[in-house]
Amino acid sequence: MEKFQALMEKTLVPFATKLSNNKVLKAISGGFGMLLPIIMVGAIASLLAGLSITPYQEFITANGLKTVFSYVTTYTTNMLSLYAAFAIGKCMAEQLDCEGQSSIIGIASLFVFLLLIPSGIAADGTAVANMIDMTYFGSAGLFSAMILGIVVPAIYAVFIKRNITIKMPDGVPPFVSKGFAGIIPVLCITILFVIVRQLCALTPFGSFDGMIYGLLKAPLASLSESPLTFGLLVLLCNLLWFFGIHGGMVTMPFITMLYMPAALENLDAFAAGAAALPNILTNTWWFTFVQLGGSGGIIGLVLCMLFVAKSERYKSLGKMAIAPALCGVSEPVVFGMPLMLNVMMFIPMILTPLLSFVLSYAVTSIGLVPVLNGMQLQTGTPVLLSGFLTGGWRAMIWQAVLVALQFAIYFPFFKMLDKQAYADEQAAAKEA
Amino acid sequence: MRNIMLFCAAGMSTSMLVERMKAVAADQGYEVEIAAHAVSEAAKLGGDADFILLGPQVRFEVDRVKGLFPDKPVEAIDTVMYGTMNGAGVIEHVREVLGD
Repeated sequence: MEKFQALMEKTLVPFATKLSNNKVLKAISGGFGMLLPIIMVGAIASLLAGLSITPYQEFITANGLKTVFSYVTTYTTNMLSLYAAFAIGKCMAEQLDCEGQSSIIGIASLFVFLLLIPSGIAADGTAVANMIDMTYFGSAGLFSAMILGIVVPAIYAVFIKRNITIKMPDGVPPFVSKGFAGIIPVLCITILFVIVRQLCALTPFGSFDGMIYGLLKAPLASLSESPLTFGLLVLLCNLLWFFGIHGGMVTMPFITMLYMPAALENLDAFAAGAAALPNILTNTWWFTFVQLGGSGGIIGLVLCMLFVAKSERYKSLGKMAIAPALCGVSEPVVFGMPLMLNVMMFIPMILTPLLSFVLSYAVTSIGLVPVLNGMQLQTGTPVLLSGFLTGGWRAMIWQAVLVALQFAIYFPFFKMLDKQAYADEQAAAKEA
Repeated sequence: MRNIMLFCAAGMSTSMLVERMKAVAADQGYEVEIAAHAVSEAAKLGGDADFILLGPQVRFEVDRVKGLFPDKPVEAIDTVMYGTMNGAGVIEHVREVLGD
């Protein structure tokens, strides 16, 4: 076992390092991190617009508040790709060691994102002056925003590293020379992407965004819609945690990339008052159902400690760990029980999140529990509240059921450990 | 006045330890500023620290952070101390290393 542990430590730690230090993944998750306030405001507005209580709907429609909520949604959720193009571009610039110019590079990314959207044509193809089609400002344009947010800074960085800029004589204030330094790269990037735009117009897709969406949407969607992908990420996350490595931090960029667009699609549909939301698997689903209490799904385990433990050791750990667990923070249990490298706890630690995942998928598929509305919650939002906000009372009840399930899975394993700890304590007391 | 910085994924679980460390430091009359942040901010914030501690769950970041601040002590917190939120133990260790 020790050899096995050493081997895992030797392979998993560098693997985790590599994934979490990957520049592209870091830029994407960092960029989305910057967007959180916008996403949250959009989610609140959608929630306020879409809450399906008839008297409430009549009230907000009559006094015009509904219009306010829906235009706030339009400028937040439905234009998220615009903000993403800037934010990812800026983060990517920082990853490429161009901190000094990261804002200019972010603006360049946003500019290229806009440049590639045909103007003067409405979504239905009719010519309208002063018109930019907003279709790809929202979740449909997220993939283009991610790609451009990575590619544009990468090109820009080449200019900086090769020092291809207009050189200002000494004595010119750095503020001024910085602005001039951007001219050549932005000019070259413009020429390049004008060509891209013209070429894309010749394809059957008609535009760059149409092409990206058309080409990537289907394969990425089949990847992200497959429960198998989601299940594997859940497994990987908890396996890493078993070795005491923050699995969430390692898997989060993938979850964000694959499942945040799905959540935003749901939010769009929810705000529009759609009866059925399109995607079961979203990034919020992960926090709301799969891993209640954090890695390993440990709220049930902490309840075991609080209510059935005989040993002082686990009783006191339970008292300390319950509040963080309810907010999805599992470190006290992972390192304090510990779950980490605890062979006895390996099975429940891996099984609980996976089973929670499979059952939640099943009950959502048959319609017992609603598809979550895609609202992005602040990490640390307590259980039950998170269920209520993302899926209403039925999701909240399902969370309670999942906690009971966690309790049932952990219970027999916990009893064994607790018995041992209790015996140790008794023996120690006798000696003393 | 010493400055200790703790980093983990989002600065959440380390913030629990920070509270305990602060209480212990206050009892000991040890003048110290202690704060928790996300490890992604280590490059930006770490410069002000005298001692950088990482939650054991992000120990794979230790080498990178060490690279950023080669002349500062950068360590992952002991897993048992972390799990039991042993603020006293961590403070004692910090004082020992810094010679305070």
